[in-house]
Amino acid sequence: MRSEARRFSPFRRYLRNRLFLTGMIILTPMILIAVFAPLIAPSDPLEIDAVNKFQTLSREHPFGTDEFGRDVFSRVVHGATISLRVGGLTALFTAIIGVFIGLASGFYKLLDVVIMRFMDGLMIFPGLLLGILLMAALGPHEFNVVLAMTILYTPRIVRIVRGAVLEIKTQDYVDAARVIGASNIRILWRHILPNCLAPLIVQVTFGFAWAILIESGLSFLGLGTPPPAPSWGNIISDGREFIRNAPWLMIFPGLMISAAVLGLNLIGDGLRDILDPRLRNTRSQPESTAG
Amino acid sequence: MIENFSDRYLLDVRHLKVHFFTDIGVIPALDGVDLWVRRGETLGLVGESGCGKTLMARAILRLVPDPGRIMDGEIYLEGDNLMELPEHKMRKVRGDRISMVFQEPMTSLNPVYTVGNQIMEVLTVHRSAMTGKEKKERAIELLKEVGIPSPEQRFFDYPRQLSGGMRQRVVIAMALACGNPQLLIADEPTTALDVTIQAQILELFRKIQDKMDMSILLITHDLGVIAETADRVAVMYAGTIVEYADVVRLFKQALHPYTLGLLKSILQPPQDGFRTRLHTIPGAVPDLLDIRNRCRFFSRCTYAHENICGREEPKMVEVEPGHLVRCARIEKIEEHRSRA
Repeated sequence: MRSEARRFSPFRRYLRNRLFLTGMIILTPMILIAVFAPLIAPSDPLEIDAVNKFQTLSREHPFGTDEFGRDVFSRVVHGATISLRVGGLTALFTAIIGVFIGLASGFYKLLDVVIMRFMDGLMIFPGLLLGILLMAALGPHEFNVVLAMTILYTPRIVRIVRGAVLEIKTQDYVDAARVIGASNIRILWRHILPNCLAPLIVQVTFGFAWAILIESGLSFLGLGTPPPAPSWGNIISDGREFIRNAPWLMIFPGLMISAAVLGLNLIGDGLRDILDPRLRNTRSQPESTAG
Repeated sequence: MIENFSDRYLLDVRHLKVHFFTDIGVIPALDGVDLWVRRGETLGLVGESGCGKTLMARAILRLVPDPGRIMDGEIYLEGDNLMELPEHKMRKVRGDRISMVFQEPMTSLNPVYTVGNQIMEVLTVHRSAMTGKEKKERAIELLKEVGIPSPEQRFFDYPRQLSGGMRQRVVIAMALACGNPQLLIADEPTTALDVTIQAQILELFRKIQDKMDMSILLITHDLGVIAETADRVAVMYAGTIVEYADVVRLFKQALHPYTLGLLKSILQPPQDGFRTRLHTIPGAVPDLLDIRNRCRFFSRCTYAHENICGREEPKMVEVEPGHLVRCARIEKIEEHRSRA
């Protein structure tokens, strides 16, 4: 029996989950596009060609051109880099900060009261609204978008981590660790943190999807990644006025946003089923925004 | 008491008080407990669920769960007062000089680490000078010592891959990791195991005790386990010790009405074809919020007398050297026994 348990590779468990597999099929090409954007894009996404503006789809311009004659395909391809970078960094930062605050909050009762009230305070604002506020205060810069979204999303990670810590710290093996003389820090890092990774990873995946949506929403409103950088939200924003005559300006980046968010959510759902089956019915939906 | 009283015992707990500060009031969960363990002996601590046995174990390690607090008392380990140690020194005591084995081997190991890794952690905490290789060798040696077959392979197993008895052996290996714990606290170590495994684990305790010359504080509610392993017994009721006796005397000449009730409640096989009804102690444990000025066993005791037991809490009386009873009606009970 023991050898069977070993032969059953954990990798197969992931691939057998349909949600996770579908999500990966959607997301993998997108990541490849994002990484190899300069090689894939036929032209410079910023290169203006006033003569060839508002070209429809053609062999030369698969997604047409925009009001400045820029190649929409190249812009969408480079947009993948920006959107995934911003989303990925947000996910990473929220995970790191969220883990620290969440661990402290779940473990130390006195800190908990203060931290959680502060987090509740942050959470009462609708995401996009506080995002607009923060961006207006911080100024337009790609890093500021990441910063603003990190501030917005961290409370959710904190809540997830804290909840897990509250549950895990009552486990017998945490008691056992204390009895062998382990310090609080050791107990937190070695015994509690690894056991709350499952819900954390799931939530971070949803955070990634959420960040892509919010970034697009902010860019659409002109408060996200500053133009002329071709983030998907910016492309849609630019094409807004010409939707009747040049719908391709909005359709393709829109499809990319939908696909990226769908893929990440599927992966998140899949991971949740694989890593933490108890959470099956407590889906945490990223709130929908403009797009 | 004599000045260097505490030097005579390995563990000497005096007048330990633990109170729980709850919303409904302050609960004196341990109310002035005296307890001592001699070098190399096994002291059995018996009592029903909720009487404070486990709390006693945790209090000795100064790990009282919230909202409890140690209010008063001294805990001497080889003459060192543990109550006066700062927390970082107390951590050095836990797992090294005093080890503990838990009731549930299924949950007292961390599911994300191999058993070898968890044994090595004890050494990381207490023997930081050891290299990784030394720690691993020591861990395998320990697995062998507690009777786990092919320890080199089991070292890499996760807890879920082992049976309950094997896990309990791993927990014991962790308790012994530092070499020679002076005191091993075993909190119902066999309750979650089936009877054959239980016998094996008790045998293992006996073996390591002989080998390492350590003392064991064995907490249990199973008088069978007590009869098999303990040298002396302390009977606990509602947060106090009501009777101390060595194990033979307890089974033959127990005096406290509660102990007598416990002894009568042992399952008996059918006699002459008739099944005997299992004896129970009538009533329930008193509300700890309201036990002032009378014997804690008053409401359930067949020997109770309103004017004696209902007026004040009885004092510990030494009826014979080493046999202490907290009861005001000893004469009555002895008389009753001699008549029977």
